[in-house]
Amino acid sequence: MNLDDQLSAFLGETPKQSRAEIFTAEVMKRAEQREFLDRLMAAAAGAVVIGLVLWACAPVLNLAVSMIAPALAPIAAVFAFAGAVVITGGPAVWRRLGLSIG
Amino acid sequence: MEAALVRQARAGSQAAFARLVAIHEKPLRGFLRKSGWIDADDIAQEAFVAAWAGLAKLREDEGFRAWLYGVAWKKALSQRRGAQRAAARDEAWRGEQELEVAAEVGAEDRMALEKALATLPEDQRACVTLCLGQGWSHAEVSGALGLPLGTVKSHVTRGRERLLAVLGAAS
Repeated sequence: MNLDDQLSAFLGETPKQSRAEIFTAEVMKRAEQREFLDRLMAAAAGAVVIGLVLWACAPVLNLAVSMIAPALAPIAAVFAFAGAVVITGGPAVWRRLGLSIG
Repeated sequence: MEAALVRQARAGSQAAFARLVAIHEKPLRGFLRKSGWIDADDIAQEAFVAAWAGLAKLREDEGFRAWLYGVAWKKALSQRRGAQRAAARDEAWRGEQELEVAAEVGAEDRMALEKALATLPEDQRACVTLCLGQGWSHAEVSGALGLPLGTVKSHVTRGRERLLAVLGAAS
């Protein structure tokens, strides 16, 4: 084996332990985290824009809401009551309270 | 085959990208380690994460390897400029970063080579590692490291001469 081959062998050395699976899992986890943060930032920016638009339209919206609110109040009350029944009557709530069903 | 994986990863396939990571992690970590970066694993990981996020910027699917190494090289350089994180490393982590010792190189030669390699400028070290150690073409290294082709050639020639002189003297 000549000196060039020895040099190539030395320079081409790779890490002793192949950590391919762990390394890949770590990379993918970090990639997902980054993707999530990017999406979160985009959503936050969107929320800010929507907030600004609503704030700018507040006078018109106030007027519209005050016009339709009295008509929608009974429906909202029915929905709220139904929601409360569903939530408090759910098996999960009964289990947490230590009560058995049936 | 690799180009197909790159295409799939670009389309959003995490499985395809994971395959690419598995293919390239060992040589990339070896290159960074040989180029003198203590945090080779961290840099490699950051490079892969950046590559995943920036796959859309890759112009040719076939050029993934050179592009990835370029991303890693930039990460390594920016890390050196930023805060040094190398101090806190436990022994287990160091062990994982140890390189597979080539049987062809004797202990004395190895010590001499490591010493000589450490004295080379970082660009030259990277060129020598990729061209002579991993068999890359000069053009590929030029593209990956963002160095002119002539510079890469002269780095490899000079680096090789210097390392061979050390190797010859030690043998």
